[in-house]
Amino acid sequence: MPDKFRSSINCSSFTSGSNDQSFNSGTSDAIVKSLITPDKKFSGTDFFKFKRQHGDLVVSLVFFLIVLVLLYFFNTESGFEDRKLPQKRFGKILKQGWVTPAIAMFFLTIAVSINLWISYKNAVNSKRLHLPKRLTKELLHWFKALEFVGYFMLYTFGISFFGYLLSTILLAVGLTYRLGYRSLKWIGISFTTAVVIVLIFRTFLKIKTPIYVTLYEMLPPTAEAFMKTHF
Amino acid sequence: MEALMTGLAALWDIQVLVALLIGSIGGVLIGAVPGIGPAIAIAILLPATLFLPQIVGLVLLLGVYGSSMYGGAIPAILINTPGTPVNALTTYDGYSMTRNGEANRALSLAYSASFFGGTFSILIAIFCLIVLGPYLKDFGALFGNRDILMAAVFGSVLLVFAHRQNMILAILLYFVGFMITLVGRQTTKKIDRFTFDQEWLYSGLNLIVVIIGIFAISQALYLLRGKDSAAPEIKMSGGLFQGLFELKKFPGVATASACYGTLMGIIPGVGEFVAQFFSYATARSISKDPDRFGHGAPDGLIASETSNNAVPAAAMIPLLALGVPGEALTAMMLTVFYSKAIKPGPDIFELNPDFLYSVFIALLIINIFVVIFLLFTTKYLTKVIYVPNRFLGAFILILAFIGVYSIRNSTIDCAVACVFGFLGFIMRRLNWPLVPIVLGMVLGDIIVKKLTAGASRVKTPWDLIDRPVSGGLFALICLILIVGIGSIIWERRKRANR
Repeated sequence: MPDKFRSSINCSSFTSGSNDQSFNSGTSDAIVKSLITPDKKFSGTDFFKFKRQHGDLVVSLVFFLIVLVLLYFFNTESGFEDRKLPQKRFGKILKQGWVTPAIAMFFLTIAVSINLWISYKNAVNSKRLHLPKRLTKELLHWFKALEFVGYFMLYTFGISFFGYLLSTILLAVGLTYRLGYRSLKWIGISFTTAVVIVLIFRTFLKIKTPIYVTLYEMLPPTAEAFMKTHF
Repeated sequence: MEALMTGLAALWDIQVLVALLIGSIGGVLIGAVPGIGPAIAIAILLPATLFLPQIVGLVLLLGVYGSSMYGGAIPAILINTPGTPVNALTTYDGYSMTRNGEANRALSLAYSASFFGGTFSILIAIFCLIVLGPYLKDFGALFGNRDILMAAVFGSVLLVFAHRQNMILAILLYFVGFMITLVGRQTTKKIDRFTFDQEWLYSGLNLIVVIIGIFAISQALYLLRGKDSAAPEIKMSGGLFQGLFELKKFPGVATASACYGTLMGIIPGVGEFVAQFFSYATARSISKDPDRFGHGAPDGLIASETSNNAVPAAAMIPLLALGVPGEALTAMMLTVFYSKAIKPGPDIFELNPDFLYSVFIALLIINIFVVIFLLFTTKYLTKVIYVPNRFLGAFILILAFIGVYSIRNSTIDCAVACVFGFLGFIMRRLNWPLVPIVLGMVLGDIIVKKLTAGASRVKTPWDLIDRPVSGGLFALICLILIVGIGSIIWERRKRANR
């Protein structure tokens, strides 16, 4: 056993300090400064901890409303209106298309209702309903993420116009700039990474991208064929 | 033995070995970067491997599956941030060791423990295949549609009880996933289910598209909307080989943890977290210095890493034998098998026994590749953990496009992935579990198919459970429900009495 280790496991008496704890090594009078983090008493529940957050009630309510809509349309959208009942054989009922949706909707309705109730009780007990500003802040945080969803969809449509290579470079460099990494180093890294991604996935692995690319159509036939095949 | 040799021969190809190497190294890198999990990587890479030969594509993804946890230990030990969620417990003792100036010792202990755990469960699986193989040929005959149906229900029940603190949410999200599988035109029955006369919904929602949305795009949004965390500079001291042989000083902890990992991996839906919990608790109870746990106990680190690395190979057993995945990663692997025209299930022991050997031998090779790779490259690999989170998010978003678009060349799929990505992002913010949706889709699909296929032999509800396997599984389900609900009531009463 290495000496360093032996000395560290001999230490028995911890004295509380600030963030860093000091302890008596037990082998000498000197107080050894330890860099060990404060005691994190291990508990199995640490893995499974769950605490409802701001916005939980809103999402629970949205899920509940979606389930209500599905219930409303259940008759026409699940094949239930064409049901053949009663049947002598249970298997003939199970074979009908509406059975599995009915089972799923049954459990879904119960679960979504209980979840809404728990979420509401939790919001009331933790006085979260009295903090509308926190909720607004959380909702704003969610909707601000839509900006990046927008970039993703623009990129998806952009590939049909500019091709996979140019669109990927534009998105990579553009996003890097947008995120605040504006130095030449980061722009260069993102440019190179974008090119490498295209080379690996399109040129080497031949993954499919949109066939008709407006920009490539404008190129001379040889260049057009080359770009369509590799980029 | 013939199947073993055929399985080995299938891997003895330069293309396959290179794919194994790339997959293993890729898995380590993916695991080492906090923010990308193996499930995200497999989801994104899966469509790209469709263009590779079957076995090459398969072992590439198997490499990512089998090696990511090795990489996940690096940031857990060095910067107190687990690379993959299952490395969370490694931070307790691993990071403390780093702060004590023992980073390299902690890393080498983690590598040796991971190797021991991984190899242990693989050898157990291979041993079982060799010993039980001849008898398992008839295993398929025991499983009819109703038995697999009951196995899928069993997996669903375990999934719900695995989310003990938020069971209602797990049930709700499981059935959301179940409902998603139902969407589309049922050509045999001429029914349009939940399509609302929208043509693009007739072919249903693709599983991989939903997974990429829920896992990859949501994670990208989460990182892009978050803040870059400044990782502290780490001073690496000591040799990496220092702790490599230290594992033999803790044979009891290592063996017990490997056993827990193997056992918990075999039970669908239980997985790494429970295995780690039991291993860590056992290691502490048999330790001469239990107070040191959480302050840099090497046996604590060994318990955590051995158990979580024993799980992937063990989790393959129910996946391959029953075709029932237990968590997101095995659900992804099931999708990988389906995409490569391999149908896991009880028949595999008769139809494809050599494939089983190939999978486990490949996992063994991956473990060897990874340890060698890590011992010589850790110094350089530590740089990967300093990639800024938001920068990483941008490239996950770019890679997500490849994953989604190349499946069906559909822009609508990209929009669908975005919707699920946004939903997943909100769920991440709320700490809602993502896995039940995916397993609801996978298990729901099995339930629907097997219920319909097995219905012709069902005269009364009793016929669903009158076979030995389905009856046994039904009894197990009842037992789990009784014990699970009973323990919840007992816990609540105990809390109320306090």
